[in-house]
Parts: sequence; C-alpha cells; structure tokens
Amino acid sequence: MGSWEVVIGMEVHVQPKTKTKMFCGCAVAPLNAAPNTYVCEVCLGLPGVLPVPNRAAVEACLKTALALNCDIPRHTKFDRKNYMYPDLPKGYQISQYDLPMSVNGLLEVGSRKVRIRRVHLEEDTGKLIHAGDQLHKAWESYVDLNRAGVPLMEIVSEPDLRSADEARDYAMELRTLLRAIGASEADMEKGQLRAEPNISIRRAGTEQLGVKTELKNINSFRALHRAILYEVDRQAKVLESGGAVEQETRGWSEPEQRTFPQRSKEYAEDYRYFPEPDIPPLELDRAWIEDLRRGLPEMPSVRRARLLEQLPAAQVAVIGADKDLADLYETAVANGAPALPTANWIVNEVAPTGKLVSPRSLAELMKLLQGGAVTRDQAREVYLESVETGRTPAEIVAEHGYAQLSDESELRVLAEAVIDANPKAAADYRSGKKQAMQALMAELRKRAPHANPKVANELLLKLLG
Amino acid sequence: MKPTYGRVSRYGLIAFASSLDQIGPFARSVDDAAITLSLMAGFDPLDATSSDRPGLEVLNNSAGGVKGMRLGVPREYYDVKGIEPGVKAAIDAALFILRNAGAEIVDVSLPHTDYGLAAYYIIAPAECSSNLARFDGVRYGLAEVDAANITDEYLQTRRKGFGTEVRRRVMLGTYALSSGYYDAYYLKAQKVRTLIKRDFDEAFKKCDAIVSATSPTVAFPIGSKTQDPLSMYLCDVLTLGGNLAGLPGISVPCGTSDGLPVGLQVLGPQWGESVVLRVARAYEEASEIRTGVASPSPLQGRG
Repeated sequence: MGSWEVVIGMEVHVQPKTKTKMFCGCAVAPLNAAPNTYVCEVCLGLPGVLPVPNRAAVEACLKTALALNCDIPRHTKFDRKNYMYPDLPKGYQISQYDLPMSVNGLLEVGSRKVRIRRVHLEEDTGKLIHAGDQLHKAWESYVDLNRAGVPLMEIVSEPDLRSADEARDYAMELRTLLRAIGASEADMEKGQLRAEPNISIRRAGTEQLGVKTELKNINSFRALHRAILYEVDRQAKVLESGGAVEQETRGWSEPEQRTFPQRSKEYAEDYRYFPEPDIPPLELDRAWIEDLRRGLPEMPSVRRARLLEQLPAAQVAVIGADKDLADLYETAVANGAPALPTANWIVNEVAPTGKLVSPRSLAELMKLLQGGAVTRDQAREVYLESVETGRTPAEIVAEHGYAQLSDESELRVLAEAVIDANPKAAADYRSGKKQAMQALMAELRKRAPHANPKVANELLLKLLG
Repeated sequence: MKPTYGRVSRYGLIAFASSLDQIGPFARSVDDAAITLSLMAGFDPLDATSSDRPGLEVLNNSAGGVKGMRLGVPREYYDVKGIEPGVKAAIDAALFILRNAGAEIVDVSLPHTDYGLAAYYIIAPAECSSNLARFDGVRYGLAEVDAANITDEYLQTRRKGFGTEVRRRVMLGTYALSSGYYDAYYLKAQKVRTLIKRDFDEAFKKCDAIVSATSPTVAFPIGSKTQDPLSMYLCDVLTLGGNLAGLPGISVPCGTSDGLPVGLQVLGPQWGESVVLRVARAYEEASEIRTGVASPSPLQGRG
C-alpha cells in the first residue's frame, strides 16, 4: 500500500467591507449588537419588499476577482437558492448560480498555484441561537436576523491544495490579499472570513479523486489546520479498515477537537435555483472594471518579494502578511529609519499589539534608539505614549528627561557601587560563572534605568576583569 | 389596465410571479385610468426592475383618436379555440366602430400563441412557489398550529393557510424547478417567452396596436371550473401573451354576450401606454359605451 495524497479545495466566504447590507439600506451590524436591531422590512423578508443590489459590495467583489486574476464575464446575474430554514427569512437566499461575477482565477501560495474557480456575491443568512446550546437538546430556539442580508463573497478554489499547511497558508494569503486591496477586514474570529475545506484522499500516484467531505464551523486558521489533519486521519482510517468515506458535510468541534457528521448526501437539498426575477441581469461597465483594475494596490506577493531583498524571511513573514505593517515599515525606512532594527521593532513591538504610530514617528524613535539616546525599555514607553497621545518621540523624550546615561565617569561610580553591594555575584563571575553578569546588570539598571547598557556592561567587565 | 412591466414600482406589492406582476388601475373611464397611471408610474429606487422610460404622454395623446392608425388583429386571437359566438360578434362590432373612426384594420400573426399558456403556467407557478415560501409561520402566519418540530410547523401552516389553487401552483412550480426538470420546463418556458416577445416585435412592425377579445368567454359562475383548472386557465389565453412579453394592455367594455360583459383588449408595444390609451379612448368615445357615469344598480344580477 502506498501513502495517501491529500486533495483539498476551499470554499471561502468573505464579508466585504460595506456600510450597508447586500440588498437593503440597513447598516451592517457591529459585533455583539442586540439581536434583531439591524433589520428592516427588506432583510426581514416581509411581503412586498424587493432587493436592490449594493454597488459597494459589487465593487469589492470585482476588486477581489481582479486581484485573484479572474476573468469577469460581460453578463452576470443573481439567482434564487430555495430552501426553508428559520434563519432564512424569504425562504430563499439570493446568490449566483450559473453566471457568477467572475471565473478562472489564480492565487499563488508559496510554490503552489491554486486555481480559483469563481468568486461570486450572495447574502448571508440570520443566526439561530438554541437555548441549551445543542440543537437536538434545545427546548427553544431564537432567531437573530442582524446578519441576514449582509453581503458575502464566495471564493471557490479548484482542488489544488495538497496538505493542511497549504490550505491554511491559502486562507492566510487570501486574508492578506483582501486586506491589502481594502475589500474586507477578513477577520476569522469575527466571522468575516469563513473557510470550508473540501477534503478527500487518494493513493499517491493515482488520478481518480476520492470521496470528499466538507468541513464547517471553523473559526480560526489554527482550527482550519487541525480540522484538516483530523479529517485526513479519519478518512485514512476508514479506508484502511476497508470502509468507504461518505460524502457529507461535517462540523468541527473546537472543544472536542474532532469532526462530526452534520448532513449526509442522501439528505442533500434540491435548491431549485432560478434567475432572481427582482433584479435585472447586470451588464458590468467595462470602463468601471478597468478603473478598478488600475486602482488596485501592489499585490502582497510582489511586495513580499521586494521586502525579501532587504530583510530576512522571518521578518518578511510577519511584515509582508499585513498591509498596515508593511506600509509602516516601508514609509519609516523611507523617512530614514534603519531597516533591520525597524523591522525587528515592528515584529516584536507592533505586530503583537496592533498599536501603530505614524511612520515618521517610528523613524524618529528608531533613530533615537540607534543613536543611544534612549534605552530599549524607554523606547517602548515612548512608543506607547506616542500611540496614545499622537506626540512625537522627540517631544516625549525631552519632556521625560529620558536621555541615556552614557557618560563613563558617572557610570563607573555606579558600576563600582553595584559590585560592592553584590559581592557574591561578583565573586561568582570572577570564578567563571559568566551568567552572574546578568544579575549585576539587572541591579545596575534598577539603580539607573537610563544607563546605556552597552557602556555599563563594558565597565562592569573591565572592573571585574 | 396593465402597464408595461417596470412602469409602476412593485415595492409594497405582495409578489405572486415577480417577472409578470405589474400594478395597474381599474377605472370607470379611460381618462381616469390614464390620470391614475400617470400618478403611479415612474422609477423607484426600491424596485430594481422599475423604469423612467417615456411613453406616458397619455393625457395629451389619448384624445387624438385612431384616424390613420393601423390596428392589428392577430388571427390566432380572433379565431382562438373555444371563443364564444357572442364574444366574437361583440369584437366584430368593435372592429367596425374602430374602422369607422378612421383606423385601418390589418391582419397580423402571433404564431407561438399556442405555447403561451403552457409557458405561463410554468413560469408563474415557479416564481409563485418561491415567493410564497416566506409564509412559513416562523415570523407570521397561522399561530394556532401545534407542531412537534419545524418541518411539521411548515407543513401545517402552509396546508391550512393556503387554498387549493395556491397549493396547486406552489406544487406545480416546485416541480418545474426541481433538479432534473429545470431544463425541460422552466428553461424551455423562458425560451418560449422569448419567442412570444419576438412574435409581438414582428407584429408591431405592421401595426400600432393590437386588438382582440380580452377573454374567449364571458364570466363563468363562481366554482363551476374548480374541478377543471385547465379549462379555467384557458380563459387567460388572450391576455397572457402580452403578460409574458411585459407589454401594456387595457380591457374596455364592448357590449355583452348572453347578458354578460365582453372586453375589448388593446395591446401596445413596450412602453407604448399612450398608444393603448389612445385607441381605448377613441373606442370608448365612438361606441358610446361608458361605465363612468353612474354606478350600476346592485339589482342587475341575472337571477
């Protein structure tokens, strides 16, 4: 028996950045809004209402399609997908069936070329809240229609991914791209990006695709990775024990870290798609599309290649994945900030907190740090204060009287005092325990936080040597 | 009167068949219909299918008479299967009056008329089945159902809440849209619809408006065709072509047959309401058949 080859295609739903819903004037509800407070007669599906497509959503979808190198057909239309469920107020979802807004795209993820089958627009459903948490045990269910009618782009890939790593990287690359072009915030935790992998396995070297399962309820990139690993392992065990994989939709349970059956193919719905008669077919203005194409920013892959000429891969992995960080880095460097220290600062101090200053302020701070005017600890404080107040690092440093103590005669007095006060550490160091130096340095910095660590360290070495 | 599809916003109108639904006025005179329409018509940002097209200069034009106009009589409508002799006689009399008023009566053909009924009764129920899905009892509907689960609630609400004909249409439409049947029914019906539109385009090259009976028969007693829906649907055979093509049309009284009113239908090209109203008004004037003067006595039933 050969080894298994994993085959994954991805369906990704993305909420485009719009002020209002897909087919009505309701504002898109903020996270944690009270239930049913962002609704109107249209998204409630009351009798007599009609949908009018949101131009901003169409624009976001077209930008996404262009960034994914898709073809945009001359004609597109909306269709009704009919099924009854309490979270679907009209009894049908307006989606796109046989004439999607775009087709035949491509996204490169590492060395893998992933073909994009289509990117289309549709509306989101509402949300059911089950008292008792689990559907089959619920004694009562509530419907929240805040989300009903919120625009969604569905990005469907061909089954070109070959591992959980690739699938996760694909989803992350999509997020980077969507943020770079301003089409979506694409925050998975907020449900703005929902990835549903379709997974099958086959014997390595064979062509025939295996029976696939589709995974839902995945709320983070980590969960995506784990769910795929779990599912691949499950399918392999089924096949190796002589069983057959069933085509079905499975849910990912985060608490249990496993997938479970949700809906099998025998119960597959017949959605009775037909063209939405309330919305005339769209003939997209070619000049508009060309304007959008011209207006696209540099693609993240191109930018990453450029960053790799200046920085090591580890820093590029962080900075190149986020448009805001990359903008901060490049503009700060253009303002005279030193490249690698600035990149490190962004990776260690900015990326984890998401707190951004202006590139000019960062450049100023990096120069102060580089020139020894402030210690790293002080720089961190200055940075946060600059984020909060918007004042420049130079102003803040002047006000606090932060200026690094680099004067040797003053530092020598300090260093001697530290050695006198810590005879054991000094003796340890002299007897060869080099790490004792750390305790001495810590003591020195406690007495004089603004001491230049490099000069102080040299002095201690000299005095102990 | 039924305006061109898109002339009047459908926002607020409970949808039956969205691609066919269009609001029009009932009135006691053609002028009243024209005035009412001029107030109802126009683009509505809440209806993506509504339009601001011209063609509504009705008040100025409807007084112009039919002198010199060419009025087309489709042979498929004139000799439609099942037309009652009394209806035919009333239409002949109307054509005579229009000719005397200066119109030229010309022969036209609408060759796909026979397929219109079938196409209509696929498209309308298909859209109806989808439009009525929202009446599911979740947000409104019958509150008295005692259901064990959501599917049961759907079934009970809809079984009790809809009448026989509505249920029949929901089922027909659901079937026509089902996987494996879509191409054979819905898609084919849409193709027929296109052919019917082309028939009218061709006909309007030879005439300014089309005239015919509104229905091949006069009104049948309530309930008499409930057991035979197909014969009931056949009463629509002369109006649903214009409906499928989205054309403006009006029905004006043109005498009686067997003591019951007969309607004269005038159909115009897309956005051609002014032509339709002009022909109808000219007929109304020349025929001296007016309904607007006084309300009919409530004691005129045939008993």
